[in-house]
Amino acid sequence: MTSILKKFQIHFFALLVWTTYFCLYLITAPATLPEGDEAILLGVGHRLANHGFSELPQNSDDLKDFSSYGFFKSGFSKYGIGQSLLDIPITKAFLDAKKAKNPEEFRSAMLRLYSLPASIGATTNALFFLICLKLGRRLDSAFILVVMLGTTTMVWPYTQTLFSDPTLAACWLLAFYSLLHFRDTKKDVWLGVAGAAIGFAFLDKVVAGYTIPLFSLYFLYLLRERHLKNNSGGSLFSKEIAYSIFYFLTPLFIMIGLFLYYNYIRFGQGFSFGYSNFNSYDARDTIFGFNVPFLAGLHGQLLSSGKGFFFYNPSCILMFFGWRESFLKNKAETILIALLIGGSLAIYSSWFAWHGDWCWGLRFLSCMPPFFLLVASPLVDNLIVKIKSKNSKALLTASLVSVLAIVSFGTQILGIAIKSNQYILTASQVNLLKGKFFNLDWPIRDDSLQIHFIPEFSPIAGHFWMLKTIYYRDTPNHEKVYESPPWISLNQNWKPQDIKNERFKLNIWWLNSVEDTSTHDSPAINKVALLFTLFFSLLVIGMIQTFRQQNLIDRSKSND
Amino acid sequence: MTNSLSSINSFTQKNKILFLAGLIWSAFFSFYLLTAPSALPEGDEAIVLGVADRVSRYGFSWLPPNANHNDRYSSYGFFASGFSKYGLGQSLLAIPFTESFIEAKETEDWEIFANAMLRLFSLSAAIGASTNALFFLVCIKLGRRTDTAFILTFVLGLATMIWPYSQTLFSDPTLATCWLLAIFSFLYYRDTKKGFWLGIAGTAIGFAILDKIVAAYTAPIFGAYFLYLLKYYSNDSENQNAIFSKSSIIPTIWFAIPLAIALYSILYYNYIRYGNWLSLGYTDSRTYDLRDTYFGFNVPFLSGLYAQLFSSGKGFFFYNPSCLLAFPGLKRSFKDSKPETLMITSMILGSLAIYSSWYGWHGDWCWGLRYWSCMPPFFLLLAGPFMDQLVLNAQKRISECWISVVFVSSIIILSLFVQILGVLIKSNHFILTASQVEVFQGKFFNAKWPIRDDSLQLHFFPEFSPIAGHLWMIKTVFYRDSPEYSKVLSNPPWASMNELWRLKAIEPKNFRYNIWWMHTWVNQPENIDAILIKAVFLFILFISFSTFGIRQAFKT
Repeated sequence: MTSILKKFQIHFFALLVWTTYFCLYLITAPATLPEGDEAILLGVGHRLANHGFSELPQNSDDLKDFSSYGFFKSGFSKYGIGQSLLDIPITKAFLDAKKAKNPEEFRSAMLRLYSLPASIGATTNALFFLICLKLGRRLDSAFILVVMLGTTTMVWPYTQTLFSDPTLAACWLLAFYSLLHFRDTKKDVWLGVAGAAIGFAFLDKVVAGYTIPLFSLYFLYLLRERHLKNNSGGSLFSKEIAYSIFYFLTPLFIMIGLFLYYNYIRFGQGFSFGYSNFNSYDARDTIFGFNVPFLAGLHGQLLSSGKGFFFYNPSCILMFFGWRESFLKNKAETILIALLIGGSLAIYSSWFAWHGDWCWGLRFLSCMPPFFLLVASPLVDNLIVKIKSKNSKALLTASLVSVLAIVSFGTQILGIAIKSNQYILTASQVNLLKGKFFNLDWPIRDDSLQIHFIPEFSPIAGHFWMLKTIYYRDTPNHEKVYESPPWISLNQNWKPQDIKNERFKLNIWWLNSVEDTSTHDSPAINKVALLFTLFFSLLVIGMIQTFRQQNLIDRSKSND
Repeated sequence: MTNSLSSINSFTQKNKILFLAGLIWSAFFSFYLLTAPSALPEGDEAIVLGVADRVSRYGFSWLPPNANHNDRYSSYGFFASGFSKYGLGQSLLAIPFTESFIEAKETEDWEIFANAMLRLFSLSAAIGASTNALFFLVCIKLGRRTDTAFILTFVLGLATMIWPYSQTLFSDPTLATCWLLAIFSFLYYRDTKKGFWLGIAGTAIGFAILDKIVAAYTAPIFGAYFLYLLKYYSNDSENQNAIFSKSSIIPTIWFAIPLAIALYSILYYNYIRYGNWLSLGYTDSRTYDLRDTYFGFNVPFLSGLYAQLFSSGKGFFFYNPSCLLAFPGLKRSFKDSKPETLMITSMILGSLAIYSSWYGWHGDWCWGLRYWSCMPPFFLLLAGPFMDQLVLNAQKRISECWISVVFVSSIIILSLFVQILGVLIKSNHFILTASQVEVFQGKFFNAKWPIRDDSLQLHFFPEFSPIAGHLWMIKTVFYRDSPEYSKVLSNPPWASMNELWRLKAIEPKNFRYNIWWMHTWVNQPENIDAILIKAVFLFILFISFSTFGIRQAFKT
């Protein structure tokens, strides 16, 4: 594929994908400031920008602008440093938004703030597109797949957040792409990029350490393949191999070293990670830690009504129909992807906060959709070939795939339109369990049990209800809709008592302003119109060009 | 000469198949008796028995004054007429067993109790064994190899809910027998064109509706298959008749008359219960359970669908992992026997659709999804072609099939293990134990706590799943006399969720094995000899029949 397609064409398409999604994700940037973990990460970014790793000056309290909790005295937090490093350029935008004097100022600052996750999301999509091509997928199916990834999976709602998890997707895809590029070009510099990406993922989030041996194994497999292809016959440990290893390991070790140093300045110990030794501000990390029964955690992640991965990413179900061919076509790569997914599932199955709340769906698996869709890609490839050859049998499959994609798209809309915290707070008002949030008198491991497991409390149904409530706000039906949350059929006693209007608002910066007529103004609409025009034009151009280009490739192949 | 030889061969083959079906019936009858429960039936089961007692004594006439014996069976659930809201079918089947119930209830002698329980549960053992034998015959009729059919029958009998439900007198397992009998009769008619078999099919479908009104949803499905059979023969005949022709009249009469009789019986039973032929008693405030009318079919469809398939406490496949084999077999099954596969999938989906909205979709108090306890045979029928191929590949020692063999074996072993958990502990005992935990603001349904599902934690929170809970209870019973006992007891699966949920006190009578001879062995070791001899005898019978059956099936 890449040999037929000119390199610049591929990069043009990748850039097109990036720009398209950057515009879309800016259009759907949120309407409210980040809180909790996201704000803490920003706070550490701010601290690094102002004071580096040196000690904080006395009476320095500017971190309070970010969060009232979550920082150690040193101004650092229990989280990895990677995301905070990325956040440095946008901390000012956060403060500007917080201190904005009028809606216009606020919205401009929000757009600047959320340009970071928008670019991370766009990068994930662009890299995914490049990997599809590297794995031998058709150009048109790669484009369709990237549209699915960008608009029918959690990748989209997570561009409304500053969590570190989406960054992992970008890092791992970059590592994967670099290793595949090394496979094709034998240029060691790509090993350096791969090592840096894997290392940065570890710096971003310590749990990403589990991928280091997986990528290393794949790297060794590539070395072995190259050795066999060169037919050198000599020892495996040649000078060439030593260079490759050096390129791969050096950035990786630098990142690991940086992480250990960060641990040292935070906890006084290089190997203290702050989670399970009472170094974290959250006692639950140590009290509960990895004590979830494995099968319960696995069920929670895959099949629970409130968090199950496939309920939030129905399009990823396609993986089950593509894995066999993926395995036949790209054995080593499919094994690597399966291990990446399986490893994440295995680790979080025992972690007390496997759900990653407060968030939409499984936060910790928000980096996984690209990998599921990579495994599904041969199915889409075959489907497009069959449709183009007007094979009637493809009609049923195409309909099923389309239905799945549409349902998946609808799910993401629900995730984007309402901020998940607002729903969690609303549903938590219900007097269901004996206690509510974790405290010493109610030492519960999972304080959103009903939201995670009881289908009537599922955020998917809940967000839909909240959207309906907003839609009917100025109509006589408003009260009736409001008093009929999805859980009302379970128990009439659970009727919401008082409307907290601030929770019932759309979480898209410009929709929120359109909805609030007092702040209705044209600059926001102009910006959205510009972004939307850009997004839509680029999407159409991308679609037409990739299909046209692929037709040319098909024709030249048939002529050959 | 060739013709007569082939007819002799087919006669011998037919006899062999019937002989194998007989062996299967005997093996499973012995086995299900071996694992009959140690506790008397309660709730719905006892109500069904009470109605049987009433019918056996007074038929459908008015009860004489002071002649109501219902309170010997259950303190609730009966109308003044002595009938109940449930279908009549199961009560009719239970008539010969009511005396055994009373005897088991009133005796204090362990041996008399065990004998009465064996007699009482010979009904459910016979129903379970019939389901297995009919399943085997249907497999053969659908073109499965004899060895595959035999293996599949053992998977059905030991690695699905069919086994734990042989410990109950619910009407749901009877539906499986009726529907399999109907399918078998249809297939027999397809092969022989003998109208008599349509009569059997009609009777079986009708009896299923008499057993449980919801079974009526299968009538149009079976009706469609019947029409297909008529069309099948009209296409076969030289004249290319339409479906409705003269030649269709006799088969239609055969099929429709028993069905009409069953329908009339149901309407008449409604009339004598409610004074209205068309009142079914569920959604018109005429049942003793207010919730039937209050909640009825108000569960959001997707919630009910999710709960039946994926909930940790009731999800069908968690209780029947072996039924997952239906998925790899579905495509081939559709290719091999399209109309039959359509019929089976319609039955499965119909049940799923109806119960998805019903407030009592879970069928509690019971093990897994009670209303689905009749469904495993149909899933395994879909798995048939896949298993056929696997058995063939394994016999030819094709090396690529070993992964599938290991995978399938693991699923079957896991499934067997799940059934053991269901058989060893009575589900009510776990439900009562887990309900002691102070999870919600209220507990069981009442006017102040008008909750639709009063076992939310058991149905949805994985740590409260009965599968994990039964394992914990078995461990607790096992460690009863060891120093580890209090440690095991204080660590129910949900303890990791909240320290406050550790049990402060337990009800000892809930912690017991639910198998008649095991319970006596643990509690009355001095009285065990005679009971143990019976158990060993039943076990030897099961092993002998099974071994002989396996040899014959694989030889055939």
